[in-house]
Amino acid sequence: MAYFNNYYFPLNGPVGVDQEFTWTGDSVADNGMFFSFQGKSYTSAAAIQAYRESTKVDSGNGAKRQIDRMSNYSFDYGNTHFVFLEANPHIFGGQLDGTPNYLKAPQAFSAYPSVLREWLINDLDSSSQTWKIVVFHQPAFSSGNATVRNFQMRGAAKFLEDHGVNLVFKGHEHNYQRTLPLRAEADVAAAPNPTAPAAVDIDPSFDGTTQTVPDGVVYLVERAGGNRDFDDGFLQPRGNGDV
Amino acid sequence: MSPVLPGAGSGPKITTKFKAKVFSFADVVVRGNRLTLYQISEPLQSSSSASASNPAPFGRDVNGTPLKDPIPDTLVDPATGDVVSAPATGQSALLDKFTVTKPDAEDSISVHIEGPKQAVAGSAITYNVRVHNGSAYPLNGAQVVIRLPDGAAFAGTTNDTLTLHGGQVVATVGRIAIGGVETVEVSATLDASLTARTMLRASALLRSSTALPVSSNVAPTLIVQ
Repeated sequence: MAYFNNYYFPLNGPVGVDQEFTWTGDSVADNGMFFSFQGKSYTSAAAIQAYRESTKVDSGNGAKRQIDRMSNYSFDYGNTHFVFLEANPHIFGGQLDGTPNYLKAPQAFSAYPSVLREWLINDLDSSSQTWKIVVFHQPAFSSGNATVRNFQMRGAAKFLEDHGVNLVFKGHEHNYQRTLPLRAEADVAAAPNPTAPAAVDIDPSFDGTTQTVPDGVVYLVERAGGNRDFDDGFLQPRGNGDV
Repeated sequence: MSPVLPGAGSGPKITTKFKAKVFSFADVVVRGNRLTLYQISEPLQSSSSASASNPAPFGRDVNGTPLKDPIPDTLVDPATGDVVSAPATGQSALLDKFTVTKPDAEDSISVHIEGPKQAVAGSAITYNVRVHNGSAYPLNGAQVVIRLPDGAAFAGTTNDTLTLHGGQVVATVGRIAIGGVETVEVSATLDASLTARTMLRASALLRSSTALPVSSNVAPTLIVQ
C-alpha cells in the first residue's frame, strides 16, 4: 500500500483537470464525460458522480477519490524527482487531429492552463533532488507523420527547461526516439512553420559518450510497444526520414 | 504531391536516434551525478530478412549494425486459450546508450549572498545574491535558492519565477551563459519579537539542470533593537 501511495497515485496534483473537463487556455468547461459498461453508455450527472465516487480508495490515509488528482502527480525515487503530467487533448481545447502532416498543416494549440503551470512550477521548485524527470504521453517533439502534429506539450517546454528538468519521457508514437539536447525558443509552441525562426536551439555536440553534459533537455519517445506503428498506415515513407 | 509546408524537414534534425519496428524498453541507471540510459530491444532471432534493397528492416543497434528479426509471437488458441506455439527465446540488442552527467563546478561558480550587518526587529530587510558562472558550461534551469533564517519571512510576491517553500525562496534565473553574472534580490520582514543581540544567518545556493549545486557564504545579521 505504501507503494501505491508513494509511487502510483500520490494524489498531489491539482483538482479540476481530469477528463471530465476541457481546458482552453484558462477557460474550462464540463465536457459531458460519459463512460460505458457492458455496451451501454452512461451520461447523466448522477451516473458521472457515481463513477467518480467509485474511484474512492482508502489506502491507509483516509478515503480519497483517485480521479480528482490522478492526472498529474509527482514523487521522489532515490535522488530523482519524477513528475507525471496529463497531456491529452482535453487540456488543450479538445483539439484532436491525427491527419498526416503531408495532407494538412499542423495547427497551434491553446496555452497550457495556468492551474497546471503553477502546480508544475511549484512542484519542480520544491524539489532539491539531483535529477528531475518528467513523463507525459503526447510527444512535444517527435518524428512521426501522425504524431508530430500532437505537439501540444511544447506549451510546457520552457517551464520544464527553466525549472531544472533533465529528461522528458513521452509515448504516443510507437517506437523509440531520442532528441539532441533542446532549448525552447520564444515560438516553441507555435504551429510549425519552416519560414519562421527556429522553435528550439539544438546542442549537436552532446553524444552521451565523450560529451555527457547536455546543453538543454533531452526528450525521448519511449513507446515500448503497441498494436500499431502509426507510420505504417500511410503511403508516405516512414516519418520525416530516418533522422 | 507538393508538401503542405514548403521547406518542411529541410532544417537541422532534432532527433539523434530513431528506432522502430521492434519493441524496446529503457533501463535507466542513476549513480549520484551520473545517469545512463540503456535502450534494450525485445528478443531477436539469429536470422535476418534483410535484403540489398532493405538492409535494416528492423532498424539498427547502438553500433549501427542491422537488427535481426524479432522472435515470432507466441500463438494462443482463441477458443481454448491453449498456447499452440512454444514461446521463442532470443538475444536482445542494445539500441541506444547515453550518459548524462552533472559536473561538480564548485571551483568555478561563485555564489555570494549579502544582507544587512545589523537590523531592527520588525523591520524590512533585503538579501542580494550574485552568481557568476565561471565554469565551462552554460547553466540551464538555473535557480537561486535563498534560505531565510528563522525570524525572517519572505515579503515579496510569488510568481512563475519566484516561489516560496517553507523558509526557502526559489528564484528562477533560467540560463546563465559561460562567464555570465546574475543577481537576485529578495525582501524579507523580520519578526518583531526578535530580541537584541540575536544573530540571523541567511545562505543561498545555485542549482541547475546542468551542474551540481553550489553553496554560498553565510550572511549574518545582528538584531540591534
